[in-house]
Amino acid sequence: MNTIISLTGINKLYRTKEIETLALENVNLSINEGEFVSVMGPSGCGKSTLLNIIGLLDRPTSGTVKIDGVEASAMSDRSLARFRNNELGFVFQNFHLINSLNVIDNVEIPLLYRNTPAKRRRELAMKVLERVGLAHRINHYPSQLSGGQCQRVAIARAIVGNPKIILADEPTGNLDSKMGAEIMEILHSLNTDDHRTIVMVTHNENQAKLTNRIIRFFDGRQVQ
Amino acid sequence: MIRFVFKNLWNRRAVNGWLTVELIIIAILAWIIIDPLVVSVYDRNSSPGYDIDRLVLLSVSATSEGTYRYNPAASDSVTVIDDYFRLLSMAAENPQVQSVTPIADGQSLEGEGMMTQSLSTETDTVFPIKMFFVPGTGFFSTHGITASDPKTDIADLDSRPFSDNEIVITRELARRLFHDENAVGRVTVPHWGVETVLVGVIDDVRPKSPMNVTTMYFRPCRPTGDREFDGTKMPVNDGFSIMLRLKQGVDSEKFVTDNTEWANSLKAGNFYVSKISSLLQNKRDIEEAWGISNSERIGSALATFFLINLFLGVVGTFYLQTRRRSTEAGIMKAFGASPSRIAVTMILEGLILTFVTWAAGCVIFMQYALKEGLAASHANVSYLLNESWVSHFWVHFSIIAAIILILMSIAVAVGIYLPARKIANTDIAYSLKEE
Repeated sequence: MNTIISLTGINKLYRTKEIETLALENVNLSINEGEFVSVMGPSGCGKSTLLNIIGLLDRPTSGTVKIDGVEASAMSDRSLARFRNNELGFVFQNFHLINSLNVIDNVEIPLLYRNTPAKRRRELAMKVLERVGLAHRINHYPSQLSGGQCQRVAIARAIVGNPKIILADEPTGNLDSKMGAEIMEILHSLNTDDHRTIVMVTHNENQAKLTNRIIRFFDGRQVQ
Repeated sequence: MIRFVFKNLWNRRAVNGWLTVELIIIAILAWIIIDPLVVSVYDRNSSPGYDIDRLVLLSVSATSEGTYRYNPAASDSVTVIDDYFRLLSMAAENPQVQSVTPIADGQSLEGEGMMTQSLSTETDTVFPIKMFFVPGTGFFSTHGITASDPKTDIADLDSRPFSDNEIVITRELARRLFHDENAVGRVTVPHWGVETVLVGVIDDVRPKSPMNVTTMYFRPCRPTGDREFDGTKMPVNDGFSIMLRLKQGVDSEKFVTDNTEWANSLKAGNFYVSKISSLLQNKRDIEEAWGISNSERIGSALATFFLINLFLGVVGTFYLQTRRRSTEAGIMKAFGASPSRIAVTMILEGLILTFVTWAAGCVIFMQYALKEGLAASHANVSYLLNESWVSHFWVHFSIIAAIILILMSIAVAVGIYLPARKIANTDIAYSLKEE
């Protein structure tokens, strides 16, 4: 299988005036195409930082990030934006939907930055909303939806641009167990049916056990 | 993207409602302050229609009969005229002077006098301002007046002997009388039995700086030492003026300062120069006397105060509103928006809001303007034609509205651009954590 995510010697240091915090220390990691990987560890161990670095939302202090064979450190902001748009989909713990936009407009966002024509955007957004079971809620606003529905909208937004990689940061963290299970079901379907690579940060051991591989972190170091 | 921008604006209507009200009020206030100021500045800075920069006026007085300096031997009409021309020659001898022309008492441009007299065609009657000039004295070239049509030659007008019924008119008057500018050779309807022949059309001239372009004509008159005034003769016994055109590079105000003594030394018979002044100074004096300088100063101060407040208020409000959208910017960025795209999107939202509120403000102010009128020029006297954009309601309205739109757009764009650039360039991870 091809390696789609490759991290080599990643360090991430946060500096303030008084202290320096090493969030990630010498992380070396390879994730293959089509893998569903869980990242686990106690709070503050660097899981989300790792996901941000994989998702090119944050730059490492040192080390190399390669996504789908492309070295990210030398890319400009504009190139990074384009790359994220084409290759990556994000699902956040607190959904991060734009409250002033309705469901379908939220889902269309990645396509908007690809300059996809409006009609095509609508078609693609409808398709993914049907897949997550929210086709009947397209004109609702995030404030009118339950947490589970919001997360399904977020998943629809993450996959509408057909990215190869989905990065999910505690996608069920704010949901009850039933809704959490529904979201996990969708993620598994995206992995098995669409062969998308998924990296998921979670605290839930049961959910993690259902993925292909578990990577454990402790104090910024990969321990498993 | 535009659809997305409109949707965002509409969906954020609760927040944008307050901004909308604020911007509409600003648009109306801007009308109240900026309109009169723009009109006033335009009036003052419009071309006077002649070259005012190097003109100096010598006011010539005559010693009164009975005073000890009075010379009875120089009081007969022949000597008076001799002295008149002698004084003109003496003035022309100054090495810094290019040319001179006599002016009837109180009849100079930027001077105190002003009279109107009707001119008619078969269909139209106009009441232009009438000014006298002495033929053959270089009146037109000394003033820097320019020809308006190809049939008019300023050098020819300067040297032409002019009969009493020949006149020179301004372009605006030609347009009023004949509905085109091709007026040379045409005649007006006889007035008191005299038919007037038009021998030249010159560019429009403003007789006084606070006035807009108006209709004017120039009628010849000859200096006389007799005290009779019959409309064709200019009695000079009690005084007259001499207009000096200075040579290129000579500053008129410095010339006045440096040549006061020289001017005081100019005497011929009972004539003596009582005052020397630059036309620029006369222009300022008139504006001061008409209260224009003062009202413009107050207007400028108010406008400056208003503009500073506009910038601080609008920029501040939009700055804070935009700053709150850092999470939204983070989301946009995470899903592929470049920093510049985020900034452009937010600025577009602001500009659309500005356009809508500006339009609303203009419509509201228009209700007042249709009833009360827009800011008028200083010399908005009914018999004076006022042909600039200021007097055309819709042109005037459009120009001021455009100025206000530009000012508001700049304020809003600055207010959004500064924080938008900042939040668009903030690390996404940090932006998303902020929520």
